[in-house]
Amino acid sequence: MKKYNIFLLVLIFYISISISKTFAAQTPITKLSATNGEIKSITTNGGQLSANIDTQDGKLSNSLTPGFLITTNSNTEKSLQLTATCNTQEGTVNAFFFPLFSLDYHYIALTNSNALPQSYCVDCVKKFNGALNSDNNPNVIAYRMTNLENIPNVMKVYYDNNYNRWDITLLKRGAIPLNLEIPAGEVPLTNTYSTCDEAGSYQATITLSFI
Amino acid sequence: MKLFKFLLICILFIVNKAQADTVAVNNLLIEVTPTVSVDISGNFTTNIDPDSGNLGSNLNINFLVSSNESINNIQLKAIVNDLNNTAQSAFASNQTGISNQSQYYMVFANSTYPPSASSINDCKLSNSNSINNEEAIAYMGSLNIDNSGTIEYQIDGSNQSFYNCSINEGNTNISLNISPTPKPGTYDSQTALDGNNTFEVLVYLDNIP
Repeated sequence: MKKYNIFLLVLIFYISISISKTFAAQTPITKLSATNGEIKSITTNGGQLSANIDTQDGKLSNSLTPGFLITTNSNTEKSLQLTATCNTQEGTVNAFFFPLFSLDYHYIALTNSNALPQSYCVDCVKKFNGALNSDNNPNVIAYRMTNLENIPNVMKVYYDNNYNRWDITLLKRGAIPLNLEIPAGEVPLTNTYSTCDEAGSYQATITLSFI
Repeated sequence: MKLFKFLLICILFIVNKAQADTVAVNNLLIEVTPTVSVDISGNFTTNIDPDSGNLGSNLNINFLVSSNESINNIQLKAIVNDLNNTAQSAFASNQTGISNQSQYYMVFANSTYPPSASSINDCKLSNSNSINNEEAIAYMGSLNIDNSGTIEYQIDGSNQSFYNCSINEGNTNISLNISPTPKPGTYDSQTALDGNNTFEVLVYLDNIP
């Protein structure tokens, strides 16, 4: 009988302990959640957009430095394209090109907006790595551009010769500036500046877009 | 011997069924174990406008606590996980003292790309800067308790914050409501440092009998 009494006391003690342990229980976890939408925008971001052309040698008075600001909150890679066009009598044509002889340098063609050239004048500048002579590209002037470079962990860039455009892969989210440069003080591409180029405003349009 | 078996069966019966009877041991057990149940309801999900950071709708949770006696020290906790998978408290309030209502900021964390502990902490500062709290957003909220219950904002020795709740016998509603507008300096579409993912916070009542 004593054994049973001891057993009973132990049992009651055990039950009491078990009950006191449950005093730290918690409710099921409730998850409050809010799903954020995607931000994908590109805006112009200042820079020098105009310069004068030295009538003696065609050099720019200052660098042209168009800037863009790419903003995205996406944590996955984003693809963009950087293209350029200039106006001709037949409409807009691609203004970026990569002459074979230049090895590393890429160029942009500007056309006279006051006296539009024919499109073959722009083609001539591209096909003949400059121009065979200054007579075949009136009102078109081509300038070297500073190459875009990869920025580790931010963006990768690649020039696509087939389409004459820059393909850009954005590697991170946030507000990321992209700046181009057409340097000052350099002579235009061979035979693309001459007295055949009439006075006026020479222009190209650069476009950056998500794809 | 028969008496002993009878008592043993009674005790087991009492523990399993929690039914009162005339046995003395039974009364003792009933006094130790209050009957508490919690019913949870509310609006738990919404969207975030990526331009403003505003929630598409208020978020809210109601804990309906039913008890047959008064209980102190029920703890209302909210946590988010940082990038080290460490739980961080999500409440931030500058209110002190015992009351039946409180205002607070609640931090939400990107569940796919968790924020750093410092990002979470920046959301709790009086002056947050969106540059310093990527993947974390704070929203203002209110907490109310009825049935003459009380709440008190507290911070424990590990610098983890929670609300200590005291409830009375009967039905008590502990209600959280999250307002749509983000705390200034915790969301900025211009810096875009809060990803297009789901932001979460985990809420529960702890230390319940």
